[in-house]
Amino acid sequence: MNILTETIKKTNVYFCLDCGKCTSICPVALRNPEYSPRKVINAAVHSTPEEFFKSELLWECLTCKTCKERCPSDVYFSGFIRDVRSAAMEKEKKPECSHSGTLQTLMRIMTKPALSQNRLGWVTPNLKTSKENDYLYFVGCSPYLDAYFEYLDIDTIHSSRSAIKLLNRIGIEPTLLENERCCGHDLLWTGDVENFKKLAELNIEEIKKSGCKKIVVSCPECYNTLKVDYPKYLGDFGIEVIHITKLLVENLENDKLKFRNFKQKIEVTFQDPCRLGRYSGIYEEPRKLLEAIGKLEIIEMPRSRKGSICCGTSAWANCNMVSKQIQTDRLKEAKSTDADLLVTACSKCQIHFKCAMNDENTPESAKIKNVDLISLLADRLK
Amino acid sequence: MKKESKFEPKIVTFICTRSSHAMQKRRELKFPDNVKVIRIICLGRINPSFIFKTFERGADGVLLIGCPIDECQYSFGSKLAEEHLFTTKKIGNLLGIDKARLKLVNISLTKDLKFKSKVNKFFRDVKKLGPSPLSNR
Repeated sequence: MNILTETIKKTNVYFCLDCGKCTSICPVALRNPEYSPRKVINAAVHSTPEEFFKSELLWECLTCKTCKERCPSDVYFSGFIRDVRSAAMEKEKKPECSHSGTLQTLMRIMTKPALSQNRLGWVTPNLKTSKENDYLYFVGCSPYLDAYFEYLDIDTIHSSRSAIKLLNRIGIEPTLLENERCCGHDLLWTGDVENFKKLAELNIEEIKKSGCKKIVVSCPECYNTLKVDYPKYLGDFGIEVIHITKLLVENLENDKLKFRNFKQKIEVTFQDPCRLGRYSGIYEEPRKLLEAIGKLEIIEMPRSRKGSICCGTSAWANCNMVSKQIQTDRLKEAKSTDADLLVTACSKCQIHFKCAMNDENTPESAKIKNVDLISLLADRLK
Repeated sequence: MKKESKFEPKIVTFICTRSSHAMQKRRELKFPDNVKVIRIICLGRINPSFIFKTFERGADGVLLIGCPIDECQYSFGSKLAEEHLFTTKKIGNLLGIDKARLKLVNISLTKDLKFKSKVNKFFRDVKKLGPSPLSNR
């Protein structure tokens, strides 16, 4: 059995009924009439691996999992794409990486065991952390994103500091890893399983060395990767992974977590990140936390929660005109709610939206102030 | 004899066309064998990806040679290179790459910018640092 047939069998894409529901919801298909998930499945079934792996179709998918929500046969198309990309990568077919592949290169550099990073320079004295604690805060790539995307005026470090501030408020002084590496999410979803596994092994080793019992994560991608993909590819490593919003919601009822009211009524709309919503099922927690801030009202976008639309690019690959159109559409949708703020829970959503808004061709109707959920919460702490 | 003195660092140099002419004309320097030279049209062509890819592939040092900002024939090229270098150094610091492993040196057709001594100092510094932690050696 060839590698393509094997992947098709493994991911159940034979169950595709050719009904086209995926196409009607797929954000890429809505903007690129040449593309359709079922068309990709047809091409995979009817062509040879050599032909299929050469196809550009392979790299168009955002792996946002919207199609799975609609599919009557429960075809996990994003999983199929992830696996065929890894098979294609073995045949030396690679995606077009944005930013000249800098971010992927950084991830591969992090697979070097001798690497000794200086990644904790942002931890200010007012943030309480400890050398050994039951809780470990997995920071993610925020120091790197902050340095690389400075021109977008993105403050991802503020988000990490805010996460620690919030954890301190609920009585947790988390451990931070001096040599934490990228979780490997982007390498995994662009087919580089080999380097993903190297990163995962190094991270698991560091995490175990820290002696923690629970890992708190604020980045949705790191959360899904640590919670689902690490055990899937390397076996259970025996440490619970919690998303920070879940932990904070548990502390809302006691007096540990109280937020200052806004002086004037403010309306916000929330962008559900794919990895937090559809992948991890965390829809209510961010909303409960926002609602805990007085004089803040959430206005939902027409497409929210399970039907939320992706921010247009995934894993720093294949950012093109279609991505820009998806981003503009989504921003217009946010703006049409008349909300004052668009709250996102993922640094990448924020980066992609800011980048789209920076484009001189983006109309005013797609410009809305964009803030990070964790930063907003920490800034409103009493 | 100390072990470090035997170590020959792998050095990659990105040099712009105009600077390579300037080097030839001024007969400033002949690169030793351990230096791989990549000629690019203008130093403004580089971006952080070029430099990190070079380190990822095992370079111990990366040297950028370009024109001073006021002499760049693309007018914006040298400035762009400096901006990219700034971002690269910031990220390089996070990754623990010693800042002495990456250097930009200007060469001018008309002015003496102490090019030779700066480049030789860079070579000596990289040799003193030993193999890069990213070089798999």
